[in-house]
Amino acid sequence: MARWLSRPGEHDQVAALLSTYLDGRTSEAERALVERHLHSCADCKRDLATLRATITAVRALSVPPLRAPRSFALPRSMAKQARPFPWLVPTLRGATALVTLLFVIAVAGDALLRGPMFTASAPMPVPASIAREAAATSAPPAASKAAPLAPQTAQPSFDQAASSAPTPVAEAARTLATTPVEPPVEQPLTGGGMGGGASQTPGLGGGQPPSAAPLAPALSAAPLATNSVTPTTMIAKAAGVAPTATQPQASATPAASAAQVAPTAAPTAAPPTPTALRLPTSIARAAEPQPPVVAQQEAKPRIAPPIINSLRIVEVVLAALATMLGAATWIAHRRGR
Amino acid sequence: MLAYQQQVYNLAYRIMGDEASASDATQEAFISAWRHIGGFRGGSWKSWLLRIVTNACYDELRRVKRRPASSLESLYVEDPTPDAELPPSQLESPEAFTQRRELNRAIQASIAQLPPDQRIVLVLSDMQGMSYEEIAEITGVNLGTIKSRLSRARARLRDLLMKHKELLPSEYRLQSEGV
Repeated sequence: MARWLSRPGEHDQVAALLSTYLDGRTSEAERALVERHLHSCADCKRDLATLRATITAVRALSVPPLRAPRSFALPRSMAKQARPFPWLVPTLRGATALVTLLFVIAVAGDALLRGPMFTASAPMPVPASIAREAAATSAPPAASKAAPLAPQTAQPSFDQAASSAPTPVAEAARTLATTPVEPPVEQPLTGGGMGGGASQTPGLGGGQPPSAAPLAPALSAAPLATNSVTPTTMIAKAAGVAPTATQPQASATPAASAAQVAPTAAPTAAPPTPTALRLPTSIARAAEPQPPVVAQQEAKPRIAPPIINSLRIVEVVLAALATMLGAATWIAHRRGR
Repeated sequence: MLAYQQQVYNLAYRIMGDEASASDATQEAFISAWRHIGGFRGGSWKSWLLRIVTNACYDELRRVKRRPASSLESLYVEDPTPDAELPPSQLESPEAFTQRRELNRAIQASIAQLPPDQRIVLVLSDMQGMSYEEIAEITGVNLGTIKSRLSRARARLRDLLMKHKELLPSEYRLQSEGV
């Protein structure tokens, strides 16, 4: 009943202060509030008395103090074994952090060195320009452009193979040449052909179906020459195939490559054009039927620079070292606890 | 360090409530103090040591809470309170001695029902006789929190002891009955 006479919330406030009030740790204002409230609140007065009795009983419980059942002094041997190498864990932690940092730096360096190499190999600006030029020209001139290339690239010893281009092969090549132009895509070429241009430029092939058609066998026969698809090599193939297109009477020899046909076609081909002149001689060399050389040319772009190989070895070593150091740190920390 | 052995063990015993756990916590506290003695930054050596044993008790309570286990002895020993706690007094009658022992058991059992944070503050204050400032230094919490925790601990303990009115002092009984 007396609780209702006090201000709202005062009872709860005083009830929370009773413990501190008994310890004499309330402020002057709090003490005045408690004492004023106790005069009018029987509940708080009773709570204060029971609380005081509880504290008295608890304090009496701890007198006299208990005796420890045994000595807790550490044995001298245990004290010595407690931390045999106090510097071990911090040292291992530092070493682990250092090796991990080096590993991250090595991985970052690897990624930075590798990135430009991959991005530069995919889009070749030269193929695009040549493809545009080839597309702009009509089909017959394109054939004549490709033809002059043959004398530059073909070896004299190939003259004997001038009539080796088979008509069935030319037909198959025609179907290949008329296929839609696809963007240059890096394709891993396999198989050991007769050394025809390994790279292909769809733009050129599509732009000059008559001349490119015979080239198709060369592509299929010697796909290993290079990795990247370049229009220049396509032109080289076209050059070798051009005679086949103009000499349908050639004897059918399925095994013959288009590259071998190229020298024969050269005399009948039209004068070289600017597009044909752009062809690098290296591509023409690729037309030679030398499988070992072709294999080397294929492997070249795939070989990463030595620094990247070294970085990868360093990455593996650092990763293994960081793992071992981390495990050693964890074990040392566990044993030291 | 051994000069505080008795106090450390008493604190651990009142917090843990049984001799085995108190011994484990005390031993763990001394080992931890030995290993981290380099981390002592001056100040009160006693407070530093009691803080370590308080933390050891916290860890032990958490461990016991995770894996509650009862010893085989507890199935047969009805009174876990060591005899040393209750030395018979020359001026105390057998009835008074029995009543005091029962009250001590009830208090210890009630303390064991308090939450660990309230239990530790109550033991440090009312059993170890420490000031609010010392408790704040040991537990690492501010004075306001110490006051509120102690207030709640005492009120809770009082409510728990109300179940054992017959064991409490006469004035307690009279007051609690509203007379």
